[in-house]
Amino acid sequence: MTMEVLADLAGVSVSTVSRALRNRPGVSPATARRVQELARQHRFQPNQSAVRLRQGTTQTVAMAVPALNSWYCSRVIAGAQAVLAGAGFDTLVAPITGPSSLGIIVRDSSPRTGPADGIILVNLGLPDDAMVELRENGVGVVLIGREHPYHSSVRIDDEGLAHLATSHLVGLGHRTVGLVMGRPSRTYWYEVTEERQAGYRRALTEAGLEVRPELEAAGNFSIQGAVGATRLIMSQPSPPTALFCMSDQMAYGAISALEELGLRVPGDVSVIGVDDHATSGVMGLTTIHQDVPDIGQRAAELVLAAMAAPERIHRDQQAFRLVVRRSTRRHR
Amino acid sequence: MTGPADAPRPEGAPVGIDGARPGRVTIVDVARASGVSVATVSRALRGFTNVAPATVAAVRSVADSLGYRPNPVAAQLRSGATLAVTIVVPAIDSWYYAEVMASAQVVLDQEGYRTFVMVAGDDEGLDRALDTMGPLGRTDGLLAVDLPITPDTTADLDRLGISMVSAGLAASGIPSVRVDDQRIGYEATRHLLELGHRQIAVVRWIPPHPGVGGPDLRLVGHHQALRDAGVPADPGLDLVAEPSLEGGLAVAAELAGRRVLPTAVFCMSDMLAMAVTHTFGELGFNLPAELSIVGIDDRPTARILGLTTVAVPVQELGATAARLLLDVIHDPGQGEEVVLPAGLVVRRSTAPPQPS
Repeated sequence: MTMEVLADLAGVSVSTVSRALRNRPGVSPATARRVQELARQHRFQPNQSAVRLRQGTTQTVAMAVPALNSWYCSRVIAGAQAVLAGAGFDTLVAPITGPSSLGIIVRDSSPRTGPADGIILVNLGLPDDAMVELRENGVGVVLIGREHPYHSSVRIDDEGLAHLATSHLVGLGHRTVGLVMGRPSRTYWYEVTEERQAGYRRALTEAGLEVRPELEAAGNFSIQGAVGATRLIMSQPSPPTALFCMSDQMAYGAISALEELGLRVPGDVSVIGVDDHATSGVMGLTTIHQDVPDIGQRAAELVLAAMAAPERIHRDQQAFRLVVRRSTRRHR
Repeated sequence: MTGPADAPRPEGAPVGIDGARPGRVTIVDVARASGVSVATVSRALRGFTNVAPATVAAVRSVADSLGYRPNPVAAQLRSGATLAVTIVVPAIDSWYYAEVMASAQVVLDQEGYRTFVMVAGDDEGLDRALDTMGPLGRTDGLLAVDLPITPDTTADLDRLGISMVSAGLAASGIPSVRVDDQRIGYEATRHLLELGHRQIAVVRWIPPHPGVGGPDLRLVGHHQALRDAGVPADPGLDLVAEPSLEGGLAVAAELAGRRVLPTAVFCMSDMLAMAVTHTFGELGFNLPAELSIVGIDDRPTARILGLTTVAVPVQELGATAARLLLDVIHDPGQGEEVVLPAGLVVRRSTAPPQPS
């Protein structure tokens, strides 16, 4: 008895079975009861990995990520892994350092030669021929952060969320707003930086404020990077009274750099981040909330669906919202 | 796909990048016939200098006689960066594991090794990782973080020719690197005792494998410091939390509701310390005068919050583990055991207790 067979018997998808057995939301109580009853009748054991191991067919989903020590990536992976483990899949994480390590993912990912039955690409792209090859090999592929004609995706409106964050600062009366950016995009490897930068600039322009490129600096999504970027921005003539940081981790870096410069947050400088990091509540950081574990969870469900029915493509758009805490305030 | 896609795979037959289907001679066959590891075959056939010339000759001869032909596509893809290491962690969404993995990856990258990460999730995770990685011949080394390693696992590794290093926990027979957890517990509590605290609460978590994880050793150190100062341990001040912010908030709320409060709290992670700081701060306590708080880790937010903590050298832990693994891949049979020191960082969250 596998989860696939159970799904077939119940007339629902594998991810629905997985959710129903774990009492997760998103399944109607009637469906959940029916699935659980079937599982009991057929003495279904949710974790089939051991069985698969004996049969020599371990099933694995590979997750290609740009960094291992990014809070965002960790949470996405954790969200996906919970769903994949429930469906009897192991998760293999591959940090991508360049095009050649992306190549290895493709090479290792045909159902009969490699470990990966499915692939989730986190803020990464592949050359088109690789995408076609994966589809022809029957490998389920899901992209996070970008859409693709052949594959399902989960993404968020990065331009829109940056516009919301910047507008919050402008709305508080800040006339000079600095930008702590992520990394610039490369081939096959893109970041949200450009879209968030566009949203930031649009908010300034709409408010009749000047875009000053010298107040934009790259923090590379690391705390240490944001420290350097903040120092650079604050050393400019007429420095900003507010900073929009493209991640909460970078906002922490910005706050520690500002404190080293003798500037108080929010007394002297307001700071807003993006993510709603686990610690942002206790840190009092104003931020744009995105449900990061849910992005991973949704991607996992889509990759399970893609393995079952590759022709059905879903394009998921995630919600976001402003969470106002103590790190931003009205400009005097 | 060029092979018979539906052909069943005989039990135990290797599959992988170099031998995509049954019947074909694989790198595993060559390793078996030459009596060396898959990694050694791989290195020998690619002309690496860290294999003895006699071994290279022997491996080449066996490969020729078996008719082994590396998959040209794989060989081409491999020609850039070449070898691979798999890091196995119990969980992924943890600052600690993220930093250890990322620091190990930097070292492995520099040496031309590709890094893969498996999330063990449960006790069988390590064995699953072995099963996935081993037969494919694509993992030269395994880095297990905070996972107990059984003799069975070690035997499997030997059979597969995979080198292994343990980070976070000591392990018999294989190299390991860990921090001196007992010392961490001792230093934190001694700092509080020296400030004059006598009622010191501990907030810890139960590791998945009791007795082998950090929190238990930290507790031993804590008790040692109390004994050395002649202060009896109060079982009522031993608090167990889930190792998360939410877990810390729940325990802090319980503590704050007590009629008699300790004058200091020793939290076994900065995350738990942040939760306690937040809870008592929101309740209007005058910190640190009314409650001193110490954490462990020294993560970046600890600095911003002014948290006194015992700094764990996470980056050094990851980098050292990677170096130990590279050493043992190149020269099997080494068994170094490294214990890294941890240092107290005094900031604003600790002070002498208020006279009552």
